[in-house]
Amino acid sequence: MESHPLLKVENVKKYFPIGKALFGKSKQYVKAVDDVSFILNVGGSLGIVGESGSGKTTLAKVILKLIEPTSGKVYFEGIDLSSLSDDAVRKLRSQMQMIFQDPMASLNPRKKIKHILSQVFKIHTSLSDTEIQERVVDLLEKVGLNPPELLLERYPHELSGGQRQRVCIARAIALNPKLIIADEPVSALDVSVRGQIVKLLLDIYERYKNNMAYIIISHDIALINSICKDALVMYLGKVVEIGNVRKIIEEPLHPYSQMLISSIPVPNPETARSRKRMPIGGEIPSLINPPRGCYFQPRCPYAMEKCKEKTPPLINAGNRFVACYLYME
Amino acid sequence: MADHLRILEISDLRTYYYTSRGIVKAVDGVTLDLKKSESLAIVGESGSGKSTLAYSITKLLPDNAQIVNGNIWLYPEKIDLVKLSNDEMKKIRGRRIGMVFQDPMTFLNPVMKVGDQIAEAIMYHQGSTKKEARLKAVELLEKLRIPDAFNVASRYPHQLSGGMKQRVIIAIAVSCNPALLIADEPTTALDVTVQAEVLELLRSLINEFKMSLLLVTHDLGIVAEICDRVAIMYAGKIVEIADTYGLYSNPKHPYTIGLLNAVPSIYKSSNEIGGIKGAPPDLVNPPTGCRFSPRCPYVFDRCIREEPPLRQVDGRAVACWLVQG
Repeated sequence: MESHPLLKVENVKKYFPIGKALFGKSKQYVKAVDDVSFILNVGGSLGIVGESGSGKTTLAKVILKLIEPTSGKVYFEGIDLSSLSDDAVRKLRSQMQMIFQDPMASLNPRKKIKHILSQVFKIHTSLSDTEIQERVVDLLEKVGLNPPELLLERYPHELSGGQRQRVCIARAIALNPKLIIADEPVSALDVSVRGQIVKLLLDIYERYKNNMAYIIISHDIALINSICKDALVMYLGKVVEIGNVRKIIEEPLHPYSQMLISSIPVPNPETARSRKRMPIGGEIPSLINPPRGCYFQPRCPYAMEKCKEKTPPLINAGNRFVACYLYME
Repeated sequence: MADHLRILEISDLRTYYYTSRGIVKAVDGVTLDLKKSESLAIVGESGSGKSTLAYSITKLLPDNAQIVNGNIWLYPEKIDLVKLSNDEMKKIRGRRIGMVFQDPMTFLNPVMKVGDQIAEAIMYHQGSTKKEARLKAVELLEKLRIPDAFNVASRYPHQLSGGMKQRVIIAIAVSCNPALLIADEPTTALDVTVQAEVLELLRSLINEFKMSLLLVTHDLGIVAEICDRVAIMYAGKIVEIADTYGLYSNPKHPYTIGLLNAVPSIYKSSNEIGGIKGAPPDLVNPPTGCRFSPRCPYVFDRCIREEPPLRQVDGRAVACWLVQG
């Protein structure tokens, strides 16, 4: 299949200032996202994996231009987002949609589902009311909310968590966006409901993949594994490894990826108790005072002198990219 | 089971919440027992009653909740905890039953040094002097692999990371060598790498202190790592109890099967992910018959009419009309 870049993220940095010095200049920064680059093709599905504080959500906000990067560029279909006016960005947002962790917090509690979904069309299209009504019914069917007529008149609090997340997904796909970013889409849901939503996300991907790409953000690489083809592993604002998710799981190269994957609980007692464990040491360092050199070096069992001096660059390691001196000449 | 092997026995326990919407039957007829040095997982989704079960055993229920029926016997004396007064329970909690809860910040005193908080438990239950208790607190922190334990003991909770705070909570819980440790989602608030570390620590502590563990969780992954036996709860009832290996390799109850299929795993491909239709029921108005029947793919008329009892089948217990002994 022919694929062309949909999204290009180039050396994106987002630093948040903390505290002020005497003349109003910031003394310190939290480097939430620190020099992240990647390309996402149409039909691609990329999972961004990291623990809390790794910068994964900040990165998503920069991509959607909800916050401005400190430096670096984001190109959407070749257009530099920083060159666009607010109006143009607003238009472009119909092409880039986001699904959030907590569906209750992202649906207006005072509006009926009918209203929430038709609003999208009212803002971004010139369809008539009857056409909108048809589209909304069609959307509800697409996300498995049956029978739609019954749900149209409901308020968000009258739905279950899974149903609410379905409404959010319906809203996200309403305008056939080219990019969907889902931030922890199942974390707030009950375990038995998570499977349904994962399946729905997969269905939607299959249906629209010729014209769309996914970014799924999660702390759980197992979830990424069930939805995405590729994974980008973040640690303290930096990309440590990026490549095919199966390959990363089967043979993680970066010591942090190794630690992360061997920490994931496996719902199978035989595998869980027989697999090799990577020894885990230390705590995640603070982003205000990050360690010198490679940020993972204080916890890394393979740390060398070099690692303490300079941050390793992201290098090509055959079938993927990894930021570790172990894989450099 | 012979009494001398037991640590805890629960029989037909019912704990209800009295709310403005009606009576919520959060725990509705739970029977189970726990052996000495055994680790048992209570697995369920939110609203399944798993935490209420844990709070019933420790008798830390909120004011609108009440144990309306059943017994909770603590061995070897076979004292019924349900009948104990609050003062009597205070002597059991901490000394005989240790507790670890999900959010460490809620259970630590924010204006007291963590070493003093551990020492307080030791002084209260063992009558040690402050100096002895403080020494023991530092020893415990060392045992929990906290680097620089002496200095950490004189810090306040907000100065510690989530993983460290949870280790302090565990230190308090095990400070008086309780025979039973109840842990309610002990690692849910932690990051994955920290979670793995805390779990490993819990496992080694239970072995070292020969404690029994009652682990309450929604996460089937954690259970596979550390528990001997698993009880699956759904809508206030236990639907299946089995040893961990048997349950994962051969789940019997349709809910257990669905739950195992719904968990994403790094060893599963995307087409192996299944889901359970619908959502957990409202416990004010639970479905008639089997409570899982509205969501069950194998439902038939008997399931809706009659509630299946928890029956022994091949060394495990299952509450399903489809599973015959």
